[in-house]
Amino acid sequence: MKRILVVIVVAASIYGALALNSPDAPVGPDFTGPVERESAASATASVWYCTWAASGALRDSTAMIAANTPVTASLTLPQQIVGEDPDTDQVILSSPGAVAVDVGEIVRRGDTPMFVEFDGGPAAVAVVVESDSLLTGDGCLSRIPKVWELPGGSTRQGRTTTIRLFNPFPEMAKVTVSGSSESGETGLVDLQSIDIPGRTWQDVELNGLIPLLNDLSFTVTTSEGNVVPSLVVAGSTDEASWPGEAPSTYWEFPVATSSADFAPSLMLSNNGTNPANATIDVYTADGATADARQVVVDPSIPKRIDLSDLADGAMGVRVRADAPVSAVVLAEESPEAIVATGETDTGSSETPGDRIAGTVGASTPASTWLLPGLQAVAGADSTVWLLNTGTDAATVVLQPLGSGSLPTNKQLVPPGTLLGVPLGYDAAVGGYFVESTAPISVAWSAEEEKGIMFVSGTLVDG
Amino acid sequence: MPSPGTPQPTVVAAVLALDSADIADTIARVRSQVYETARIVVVGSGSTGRHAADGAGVDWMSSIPNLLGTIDHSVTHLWLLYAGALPRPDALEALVLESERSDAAVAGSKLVRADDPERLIAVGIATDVFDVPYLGLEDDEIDAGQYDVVRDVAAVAAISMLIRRDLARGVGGPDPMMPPEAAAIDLCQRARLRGARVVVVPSSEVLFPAERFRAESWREGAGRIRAMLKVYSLLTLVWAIPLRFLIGLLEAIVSPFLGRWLLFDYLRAWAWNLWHLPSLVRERLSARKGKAFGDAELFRFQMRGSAVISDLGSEIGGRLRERIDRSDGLSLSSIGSDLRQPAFIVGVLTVLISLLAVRSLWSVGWPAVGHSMPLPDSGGAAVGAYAGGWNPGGFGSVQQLPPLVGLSGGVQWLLLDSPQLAAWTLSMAAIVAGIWGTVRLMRAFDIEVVAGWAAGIVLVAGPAAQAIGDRTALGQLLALGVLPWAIRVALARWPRGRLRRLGRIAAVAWVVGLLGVLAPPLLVVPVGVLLINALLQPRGKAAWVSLAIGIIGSVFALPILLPWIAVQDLHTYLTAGSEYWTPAVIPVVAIGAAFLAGVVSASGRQLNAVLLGGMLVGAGALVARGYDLGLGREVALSGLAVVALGTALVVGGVLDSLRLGEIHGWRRILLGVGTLGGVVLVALTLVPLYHGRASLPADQLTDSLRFTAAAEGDATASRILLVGPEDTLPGDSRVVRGAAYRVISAPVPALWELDLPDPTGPDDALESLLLDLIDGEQSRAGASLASFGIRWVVVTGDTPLEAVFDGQLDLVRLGGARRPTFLVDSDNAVRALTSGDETWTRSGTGYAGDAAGGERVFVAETANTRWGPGPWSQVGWGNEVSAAEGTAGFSPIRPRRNEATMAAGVFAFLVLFSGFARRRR
Repeated sequence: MKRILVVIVVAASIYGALALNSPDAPVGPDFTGPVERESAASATASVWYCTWAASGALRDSTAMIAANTPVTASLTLPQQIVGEDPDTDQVILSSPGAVAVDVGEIVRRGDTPMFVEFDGGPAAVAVVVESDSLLTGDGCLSRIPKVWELPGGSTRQGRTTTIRLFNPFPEMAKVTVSGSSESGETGLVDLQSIDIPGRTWQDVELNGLIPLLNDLSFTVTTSEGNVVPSLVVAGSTDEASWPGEAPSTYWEFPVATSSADFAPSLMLSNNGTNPANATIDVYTADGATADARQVVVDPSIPKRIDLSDLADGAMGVRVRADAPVSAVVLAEESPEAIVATGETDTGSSETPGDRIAGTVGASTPASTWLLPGLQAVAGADSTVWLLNTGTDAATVVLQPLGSGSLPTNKQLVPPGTLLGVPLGYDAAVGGYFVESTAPISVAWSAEEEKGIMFVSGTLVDG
Repeated sequence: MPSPGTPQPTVVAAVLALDSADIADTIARVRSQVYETARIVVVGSGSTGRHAADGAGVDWMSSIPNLLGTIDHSVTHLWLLYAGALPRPDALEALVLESERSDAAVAGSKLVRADDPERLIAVGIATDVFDVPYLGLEDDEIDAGQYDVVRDVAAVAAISMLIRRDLARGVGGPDPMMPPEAAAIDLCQRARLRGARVVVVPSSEVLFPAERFRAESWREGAGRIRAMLKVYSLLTLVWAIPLRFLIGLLEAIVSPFLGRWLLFDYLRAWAWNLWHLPSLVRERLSARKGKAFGDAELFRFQMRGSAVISDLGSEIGGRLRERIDRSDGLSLSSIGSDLRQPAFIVGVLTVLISLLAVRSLWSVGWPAVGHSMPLPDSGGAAVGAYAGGWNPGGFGSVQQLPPLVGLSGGVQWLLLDSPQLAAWTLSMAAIVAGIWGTVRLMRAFDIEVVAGWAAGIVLVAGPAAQAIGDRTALGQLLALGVLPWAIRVALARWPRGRLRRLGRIAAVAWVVGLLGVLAPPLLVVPVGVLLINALLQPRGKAAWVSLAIGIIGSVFALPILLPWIAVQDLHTYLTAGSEYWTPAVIPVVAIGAAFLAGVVSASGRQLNAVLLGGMLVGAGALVARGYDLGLGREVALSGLAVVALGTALVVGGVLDSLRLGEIHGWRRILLGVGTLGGVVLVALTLVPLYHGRASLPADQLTDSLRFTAAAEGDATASRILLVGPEDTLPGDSRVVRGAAYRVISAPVPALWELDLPDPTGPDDALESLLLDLIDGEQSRAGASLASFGIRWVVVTGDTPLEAVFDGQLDLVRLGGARRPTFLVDSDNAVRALTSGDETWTRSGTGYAGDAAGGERVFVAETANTRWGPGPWSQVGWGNEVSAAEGTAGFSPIRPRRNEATMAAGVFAFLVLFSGFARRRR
């Protein structure tokens, strides 16, 4: 009897044990990595990377810092000697405003890529580089993807292209640069797995590696660490520089050219596996020309589209593609020998100057923009370009930022038009804060005899 | 005989007054010697000796050297006698004649028992190289003349020693700083160094109380060390002294198991010699000044090896034979018979298997994996942390540490603060005790040694134990060694006599208390087992008595768990965490087969074991899978321990049933199947034996974190942030957005920081930082992590948090590390930093550095006013205290410390009382 009872009890215990459920599997992470920041000014702390600053015997750079809120900006200028302490500076904006920081007053040793840390926001930075014969610059970036696209290069006669690989982080970065041209993929064997030591940079001169190519697009892939690349295209005097970007199916370029003196072109690059069909819309002060051009961008064959026949004078463009493409616009005063891919060289008997400007576009319109440096380039005529590709008119308030309170400027941008607002130079102004009633894209340009520069606006997030 | 005409040696008798009551008898015996002495002198013992001398009408001198100073060259010999020695009338004559004949400068008598002169005490003394005496006699050996040969010996006892006066003067007589036995050995060695012969003269018989001969004391041990240091050459001392130190340490460690406590004697002996080093140096110079021979002469009459180890081995062997199986009669008739005894074989196998099972722990201690961590560097600090001190888990707290930390710290402190030795010892002891305890427990069910041993193996290394080890439940693993004892002691026959009965209850109390210290949920298991046992034998009065004893003992065990049991939120403890046991098929089938076969085929008390075991397996399995019932991790793991015990009972019952002759036919066949199941379970114990880690998994952290110890600066001054899947993190962990992480001490965390307290200020701040990183709102994580004292971030497995640390301006990814690792690029990523930017290092749970008056030190621990020295202030979530004293520490919580002291006192009292009561008749 005892045996039977015990067996029953044991069996019941075992049955009960088997019937009990196991704990639920722990809920895993609800994220896959850090939130990828758009290169946008937001209300939080941020870091902006400026790769092409230089202050030395020949060049001067100015860091244009603008913020819509009181911030402290810490500037760090690493040295190219591994292990050396960087040069630093700090700027405090006790109220919304902007300030132009002469990099030469911090250090004067030539190339000085830097990064600027803000303890709040929205805030953004742009860098202007000048010499006796050039004017260039663009907005700095806060986003660092692992794969960068840099279209718009050229090693044809009269043009030199350089890629700067800036590693602002403490650890070594390992980078591979691959390129494509009108002839297809270029063989850049020497640029496989380049080591960029922490807090240094390296310039890659491409004319020696892949000479005499009209249209070049590069992909910078980081396998270890992180880098911030930028592309510099130089003519005989002036140069244009722009940062890398991530491909998108949509681009707005508020300024493709600022006047008829500069031949605009659009460079598209497709790093995918299938051809991308791209539609180009043109915008001027008079209105829009939708579907002005339709092109097919083959994989690994960058396409340069001459825009000069699409409109006279200042124009903005919009690109819509069925696959992600990277894009830049260039405005060249002397585009001789340039041949748009698949088009006939018309030739020219004139010998104009060689001013070049180029910039990346905005992948989305927005209602709020920050434009550090606008109207702050001494001696240059600055213009802000407002592109409204939407169907509603946009009332745009241009708030100058500087020291003290400055009067606003209100503009109405009809739908489907481009409005350029000339602003000249004002020593009291360091940048602008732009608010619109409808989504627009914004850029600014600065022009003087020695050079021209385009600077894409910084979107303000939230 | 001296030749005619040769002057007869003149002898002065010196009676060493060690006990004045015996002096008169000794003097009377000296006076009655056939060979008359020229003078009788009482030496030593101050006024007591003088009084005794006056009473006997003889002279008194304070010391032998003083006596030597008063006797002139007419005296040829000095006869040293202990007070209480009773020489036969011809003892002196024999000494004189033989010493003259042998030309021996020192001659000693044969010593026999005063209460039984037929039995020998000593016939000369041999020593080992460490001057430990070795007599070479059996206990109470009968004097049949087998040693009646005059021969050279290493030494003779000063109980009756005839020494030539000139030699005595030359060597300066016995060393007054030494106790008698050591002084005699020392004197003889010094004499032999000078070329003198030392002989024993068996024809000279002296009666002496046996209990006073070789009354061991720390002074004798100190004296032997001093004797070695005086006579041996430096070359010999270079190896002999360290070896002597180690052998003494071994004796001190083993002796408690033999009922003696020698550690303090051992330490006092060495300390005494250090204290008297100046006099030792003088004595050594004097001893070696006129030496005629080297150390080889001293080695001539020494036994090989160590007398201490030889005696220990004999005693342990005898005790093992006696204890493992009381029913096996200990035969002294032949060594072969002893060796063939199952108990002996089982005992040897137990030790061998235990050594095999823990061999990997010897050099590295407990592995750093899961809830197993190495012990901290300081056992004293661990005890202090448990007893009201600072809990260093995470960023620190006042949360009470588990009792296992206090116990392991205490053991570590006793074992010279070696973490590895303490871990090895605890694991080894648990296995040996578990097997041994199971054998003893099985005897309560009439299960013989071999089956009991197999059951013991299954208990400590079977599938359930392996499951406990896989889950790195150190407490439960060690508790397996105590669990069978907790039941066995209660089941033992209820003794007669109130004192012995109280002692039994005390024994149950401290064993159950020890069980509870190791794994608190197991505190109730002995009562549960005894209850089931009683229910299985409802008419058995003994079972119910055992249950009552178990209950009372368990109640008295509770104070041993103070302060933990008073402070801990028991509900939280019992429900926290989760474990769910999913056994493999083979062990389930094996135990099932064994149980069913046992239920059907076994009978008698073996059947009771099988039934009890089955009930325990069922109940334990229910608890081990009781997540749904709200049972937490600790309870579930304790359920596994119950399964282990139940399995052992079933295996023991089934295996032993096979030897019973009354099972026949199909039942025997069925029993054979069940036995096969038992054999399978025993075979499965080979797995942990193979690894040698006492069922624990391999270390997962140490190699990954070892690089921190090699980094510049003091790694212990910083913390490590571990990120990765929860099952790759040690102990408890925290979660942010579903990703697990935790903070540990560098270079490797210790056992005391496995549990994380409820989140406090720094935890909230760190979580906030991690959220900022995930949201991409931080670019200088390094500076922020440095404020927590975090110097490294180590990724232990696949986690999205790794990408979060990439792309930070002040975090350097280290190449070549075993796991993805980030280094904080900041100078001050330390846990304690002064206002002068000096880093303080960790010292126990506190910090230490250069004292800096006027400066303050920030301590990156959860803010608490008990941090000091004052004035204390809270800075953010941390503490700032004065740096004037060069230390920063946590003032213990006095009530908890008092409770811990009381717990230790209660435990010690129960142990001592139970031992005392057991030995009383």
